[in-house]
Amino acid sequence: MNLVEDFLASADLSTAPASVRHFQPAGSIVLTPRFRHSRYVVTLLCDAAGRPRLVGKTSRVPHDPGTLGDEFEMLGAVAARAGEGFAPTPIALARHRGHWTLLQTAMSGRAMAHGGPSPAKVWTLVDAWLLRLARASATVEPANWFDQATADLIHALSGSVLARDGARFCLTEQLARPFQDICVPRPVEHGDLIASNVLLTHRRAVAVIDWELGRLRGIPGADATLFLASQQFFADGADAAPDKVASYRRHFLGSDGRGRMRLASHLEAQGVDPVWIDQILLATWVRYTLTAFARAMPGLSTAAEEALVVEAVPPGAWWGAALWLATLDHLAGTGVG
Amino acid sequence: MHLDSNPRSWRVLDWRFLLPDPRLGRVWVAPECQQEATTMEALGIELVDQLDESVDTALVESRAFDVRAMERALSPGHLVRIAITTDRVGLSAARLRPFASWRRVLEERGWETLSCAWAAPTSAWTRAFVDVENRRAVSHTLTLINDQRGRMARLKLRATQAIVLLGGQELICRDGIVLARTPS
Repeated sequence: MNLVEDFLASADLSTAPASVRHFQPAGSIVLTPRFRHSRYVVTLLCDAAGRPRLVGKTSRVPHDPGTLGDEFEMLGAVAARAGEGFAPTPIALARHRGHWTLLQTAMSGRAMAHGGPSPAKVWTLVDAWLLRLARASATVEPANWFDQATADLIHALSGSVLARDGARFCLTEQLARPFQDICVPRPVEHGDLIASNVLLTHRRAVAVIDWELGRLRGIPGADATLFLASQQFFADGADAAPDKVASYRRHFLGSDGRGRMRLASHLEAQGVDPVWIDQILLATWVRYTLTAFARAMPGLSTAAEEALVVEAVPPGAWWGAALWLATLDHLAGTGVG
Repeated sequence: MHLDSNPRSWRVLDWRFLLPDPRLGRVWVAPECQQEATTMEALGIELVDQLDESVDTALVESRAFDVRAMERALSPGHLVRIAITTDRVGLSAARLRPFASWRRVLEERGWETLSCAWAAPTSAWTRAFVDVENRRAVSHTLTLINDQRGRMARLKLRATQAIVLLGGQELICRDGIVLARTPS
């Protein structure tokens, strides 16, 4: 018996979906991510057929709840609005033997990144899934929404830690600012909808995992942007940041790019005028970059430590930052990137 | 908060989540695992120099593991983590089925084996610990490992899964972790 099995044995499952209320795991797989900022170990609790039924997400550092509380709340909201089975259903969150653990239902299937249907077919399925999520969850907020979604994050980080990129942040805010005055639907956002987080179930339905970066009110089109870009990079075999930028320029910044056309159709279906597509791309990538920074330094307290992080991990090290700068370059035409 | 709250440093101890309680207490680390000791020290984990009755958890490597010395030094019921690394050559039973061999050796001497977990390199960014004896779980992990691009990759996956489902998983699952308690 491992930690999550032990937690399951003591958890109250009376409000869990009926399919897992009396579930007894026949085996487990403990996944230990090696990403720089991974804070959680993921335990898949499998049934007798080896299929994951429940997932336990445990904080690596003792007593650190991380963002598990936010994830629990957001998945609860998604389940309430979009129905059970659309996304993982949260079951329990508690500190167990010194470690915070979130128990949720498992989504199983084959990762889209591992081949299968054609990219066009995959996008059709993901597009439909995103539109269903938007219809179930979107709220229209005309006032201050851009500040809450992006500008506040820019201010919080660009003033101190990322000071040397101050001019780029100012320009970004300036270029995206007109976008704030329009009314847009703000759907629940997954926040990391890359191809490897999207599964295709045996019923050929979309299942999405890893909601760690989710937001209750996101930027419209941000999930679609991230998915279409990661799908295109996979198709182009673009692994390094420069290859990704080249692929991105071709498919998203050119007026007849495939990714851009798909994103435009997606925005239209969500009720957003595709004329804002460049601002959406800009807001998506700058926020993706800033979120990565925020995750990189949750415990930093002194200016010296912050300076150390800036030196160790410059913004260009992330492909998200490279795409932000490429979009800025495209929009401003100043060669900033 | 601990001395080092960087989750990346804690990754070296992820095997402890195979236990129902991941708290390790006072830890003794064998010289061949010294790199782990350096990280654990930074994490504020209590390390001891001497292998004696005060130790709660001992970390050793299979190639330098002396079962009798461990039994003499530790109190009954204390935890030992054995990192299994196998040579790729040779046809001895211990090399072909390293986990089964270690389980047999330990259980013959009265130890309680808590976990025999394959450390599967699922991708560049993730690693998995899987119960070696759970064929279905090993088979599912193989699906996670394999990127399934191309027909040959898919054929290779099917062949490997067939070997696993026929009980030959230890031919594939070579390196990993054995967690056991000294005889009571």
